[in-house]
Amino acid sequence: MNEVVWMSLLVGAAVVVGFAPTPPLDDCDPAGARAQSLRRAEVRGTAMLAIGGLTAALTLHACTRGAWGTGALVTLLGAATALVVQPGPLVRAVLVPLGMWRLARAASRWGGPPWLRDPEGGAALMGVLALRNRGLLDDGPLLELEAGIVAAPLRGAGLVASGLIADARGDSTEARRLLLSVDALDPDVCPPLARAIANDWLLEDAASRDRWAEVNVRSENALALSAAGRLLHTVSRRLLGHASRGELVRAWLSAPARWKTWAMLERAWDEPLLPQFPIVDYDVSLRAANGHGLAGTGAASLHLDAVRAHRRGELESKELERLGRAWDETLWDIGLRKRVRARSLELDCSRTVEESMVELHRALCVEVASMMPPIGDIPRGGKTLERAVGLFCDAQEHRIGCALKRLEAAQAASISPTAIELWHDWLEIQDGYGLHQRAGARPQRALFQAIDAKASPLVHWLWHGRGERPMANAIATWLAMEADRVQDDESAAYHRQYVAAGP
Amino acid sequence: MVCNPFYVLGLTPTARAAQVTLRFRALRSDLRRGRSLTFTTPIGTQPLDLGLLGIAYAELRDADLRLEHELRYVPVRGRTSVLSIVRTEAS
Repeated sequence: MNEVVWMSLLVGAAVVVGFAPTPPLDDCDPAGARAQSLRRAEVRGTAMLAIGGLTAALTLHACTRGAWGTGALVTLLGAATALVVQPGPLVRAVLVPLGMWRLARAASRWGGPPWLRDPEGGAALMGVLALRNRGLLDDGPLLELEAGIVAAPLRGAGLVASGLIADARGDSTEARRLLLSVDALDPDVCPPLARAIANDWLLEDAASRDRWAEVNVRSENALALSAAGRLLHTVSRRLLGHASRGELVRAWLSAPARWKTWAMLERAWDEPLLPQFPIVDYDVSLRAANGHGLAGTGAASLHLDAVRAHRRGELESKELERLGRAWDETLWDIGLRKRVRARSLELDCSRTVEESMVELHRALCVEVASMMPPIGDIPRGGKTLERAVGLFCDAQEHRIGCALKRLEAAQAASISPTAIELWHDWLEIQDGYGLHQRAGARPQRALFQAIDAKASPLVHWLWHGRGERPMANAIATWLAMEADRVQDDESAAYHRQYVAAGP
Repeated sequence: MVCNPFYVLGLTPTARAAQVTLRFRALRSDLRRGRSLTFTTPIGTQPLDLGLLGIAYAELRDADLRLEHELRYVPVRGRTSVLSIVRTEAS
């Protein structure tokens, strides 16, 4: 009798939880992401409660009659059923490490934590992680996984999976860009595990490029760090001179895959602590770039050094500033102009000296402008730099214009682009706008209004026409923030409606 | 800057027009025989192909473009001066 009461109580509780919506559901939009994930959580919770209740009751029933073997079997069956209903732990502990990507994807698609906020994206993400573990990165499986992401609205896990697919195809720049953009999505559509995976990848990527300061900043500001992330954080602190060997060893011991991270430990162990102002150990022939050359006598040499540093992604604002100053001093030197005139006569040039110098200056400014994006601050001052900054702003405006045209065309296209393609175009606009803002050469308000005029219909279309509410919400959030910054109250009020409605 | 025709042809700005033509023909002949060639720049070595070679030769035959490239030339090794013109005069 006892077990019948237990069973009735638990199954009854499951039915009540399943059919009576919890209070938060009444507070949010029923079609929104939060309501959907709460509903999924409720269904899962109900199923688990029913399974738990049934298993407990049957086990109790068997044990009270002395059938211990049957009781154990029922418990095992109950646990197996729970794993089928909530396959998340099984997928992460067994299927992903074994590289069984199809099964991992199928099981994750079935749902449950941690992918309540994005089951389709979570399934693709688990598939990609399993593929990476297996070392199988052919285009066939990747295309198959991509098809799964395209089928659903773009959310956090789908975005992370797209980033990892781009990385698997060897496009690490694209992967970095996509994974960084995860922060732009509302937390309601971004599972915490997807965010953690993106963060781990970004930390590993920065570490592989020896950007330990970036690793330190990113890991310091991360909401939650995995054990591997904590190790990278400690290594970065150690390399920057802020962590002891004891801290390093503790972080290494608590991190997974100790054999793989042994080299990192060894490096951080042996690495001398960096001084506050690092000394760049350049070759003698490169000293001009290191501040040892005479100003105005090393412009071409500085230019080559800047090209080299730019290719490595190490070009700093100060180097570019020095380059601009050197070209200014060189090109406006009277002595040089005399020599150029003499040489021009020797070669029988058709251009005048002034024309030649103007043409050279234009070409140099284009090259200096093309080297600007990877640096922190955009240097100003001097004829060369000012012109280069102007060209740089033109390039950003052109880039934004092209992306806006593509997004406008997408709204009328018979075969609409995928969500990730639309997101790419939007990121182009955001990046271009950010760089334009950093240059600070022109007022932002006019550019914002040009973007807003085309982005407002885009948000409306994404929300109502495409059902891409998470993306529309992320775009509207950015537009509202920027409208506040440029003091466009009308636009800010319009976009806040979409922000308030949630993803 | 890196694809300066002087680097592509392996010459310096002191090279005369005839030397430019001779070097171009020799390199073109080697490339047509299927040999893989490279050229050295101050920031590394790059592969040479017929397209790049043709463009470099055409640019050096144009006096205005040649002057521009001379202004931007930096010796491949031991670069301490800025402009080849300065170097040429000193020598």
